[in-house]
Amino acid sequence: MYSYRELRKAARQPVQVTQLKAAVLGNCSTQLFSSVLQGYANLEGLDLSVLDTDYNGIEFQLRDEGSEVFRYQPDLMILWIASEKLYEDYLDADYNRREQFAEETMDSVRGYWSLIRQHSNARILQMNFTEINDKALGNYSAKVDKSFIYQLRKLNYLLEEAMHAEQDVYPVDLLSVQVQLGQREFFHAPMYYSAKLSVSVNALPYVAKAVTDVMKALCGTIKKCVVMDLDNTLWGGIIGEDGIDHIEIGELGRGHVFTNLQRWLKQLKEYGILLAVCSKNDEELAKEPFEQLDEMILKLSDISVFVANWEDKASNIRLIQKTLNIAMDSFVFLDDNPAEREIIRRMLPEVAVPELPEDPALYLEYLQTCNYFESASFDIGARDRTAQYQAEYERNKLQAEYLSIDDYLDSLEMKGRICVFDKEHAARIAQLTQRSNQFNLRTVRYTEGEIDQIVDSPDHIPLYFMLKDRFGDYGLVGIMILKRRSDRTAFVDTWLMSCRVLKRGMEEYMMNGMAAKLLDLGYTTIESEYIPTSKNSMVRDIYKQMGFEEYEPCHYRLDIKEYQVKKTYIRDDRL
Amino acid sequence: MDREEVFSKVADICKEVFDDESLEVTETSSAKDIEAWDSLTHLDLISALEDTFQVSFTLEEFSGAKNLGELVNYLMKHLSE
Repeated sequence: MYSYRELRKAARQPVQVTQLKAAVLGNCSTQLFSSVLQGYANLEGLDLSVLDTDYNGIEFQLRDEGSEVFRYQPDLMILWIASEKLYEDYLDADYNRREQFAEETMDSVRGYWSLIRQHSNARILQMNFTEINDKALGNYSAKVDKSFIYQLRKLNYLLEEAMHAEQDVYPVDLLSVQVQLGQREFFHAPMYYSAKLSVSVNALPYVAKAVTDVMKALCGTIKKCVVMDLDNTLWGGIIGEDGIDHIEIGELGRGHVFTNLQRWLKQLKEYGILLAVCSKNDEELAKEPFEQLDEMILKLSDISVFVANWEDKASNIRLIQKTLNIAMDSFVFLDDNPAEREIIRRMLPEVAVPELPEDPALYLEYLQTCNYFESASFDIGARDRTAQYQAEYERNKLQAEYLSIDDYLDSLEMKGRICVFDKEHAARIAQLTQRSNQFNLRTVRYTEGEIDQIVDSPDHIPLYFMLKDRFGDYGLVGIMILKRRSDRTAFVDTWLMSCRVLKRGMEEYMMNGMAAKLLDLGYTTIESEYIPTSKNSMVRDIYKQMGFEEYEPCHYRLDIKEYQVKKTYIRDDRL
Repeated sequence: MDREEVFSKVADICKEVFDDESLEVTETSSAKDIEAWDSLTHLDLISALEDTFQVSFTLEEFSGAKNLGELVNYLMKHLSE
């Protein structure tokens, strides 16, 4: 597995020719993941470009057909809904509605899918949900339908059912990454609280692998054949030396290990993967266990090409390849002998050669972790029409619910509040001035002490803004510090806003609030400034958009009487 | 490991994380001085320090550190534990 640092470094290499475009949408911070994915794709030779979208911007991006993500025209959309955020939503939801949490969440996921289909041909890569067991009722939680773990497991089940009915949705099994790594490796609480990263930095390469595997399969790079050695690979012991009586297979001891490997290979065969044998043996002897041992799961009839001779294995694999007429890069070669593996790697570099562990007991787990057999389709014969009709019904229901961004914003039932600074909020205000980079017009940093002074200053009108909607309370999300320049003129010393509430109409709400407040206080003119930094270009034109006149570069002025109140769906929250 | 050694390792890590072989840092260097030091590379820096020195920063340490000197303080503290 590539390391996190390797992948971040690789992400800096420019992509030569983009063949595939992926957009990442999440309710958690996905920026770092997008970068690691870019790095992974670069190292794997996949010509991929990745667009990351703003944290928690799924709704906004998908409800606007002119949004960044649709303009990008991605081939793939990766949807990552982190359980950490879901858990917070669940706890904020009304106690009496928690039984419906899985159904409601699934409704919104289906809604995302149908919005994607409306405006794009992108295929959807849907992450499933990782587990959080908050032990609110201990083990008993697992039978209480209100509990989070009950709802979360149900949600994963509903998701599987829903994906089963949709052809253009491809699962990314994030949960199995969590299980593989264990929660201590997979999640890093300080990273979550400081950067809203729902997985640890060192888990990101594994997540990137899962996504890249799916993308490769979608691009048609799939494995079609397993070429298997026999002695100490498919069974324990050496048939030519130990004899048929000493071959280990069955349910006892080491034999059990090989039986389970065969069970798994048999399943692959049932899913359409070809099995071939390539063994250094006399052919008759090599076939003996297949013919004489009942415990053998694999039968000769399961093997498409059986090659047992004393030729070198590279030549034999070429022979198998000719016989089956499939590409060399669709082969996986299983052999317990490191020397044989090395020869094949050198002679036939396209063939996948897993580095099987020394202990056969670990073969199966290792092979499963390698994930060679990613598929992008599954032929189940006649499709169940009922499920299709059900999915279509759900789709229509959600489309009808929200016709536009405006309807959507309206449905959020947002409520805002304007307050004058108080000492109680000084710490939070100072923190915001120090941390906000993107939506920050002058990037003036204040300490808590300085904020305290501003609270007491007669020359300042310092305002903070709160926002909540029907899903929860965002708390303090915006700050405007206005400085008296004269009896008539106020200067916007600071205007910043948390990016969590971007594109909700909060900027308009803040501007409306400030204009009204200053008018009330007898001011006639607002002056302001934009100080460009490497990070705040998103607000470069905001004063112009709000109706200010740019009287010299980056300096703006507004006659308050001329100000036209901006449209917003945020209503005043009255106490 | 004394403070000087730790700092010299930190300086090397900075070169890698901020992708600048000629980068010279001091204990007072902060995000303000280093163009490539943003919220993402900050996480790179933290995780590289954690991996290299086999320590775990607390939330307060890694989101509150104002400059490299403070990060080195925290490293020294953890290394002595």
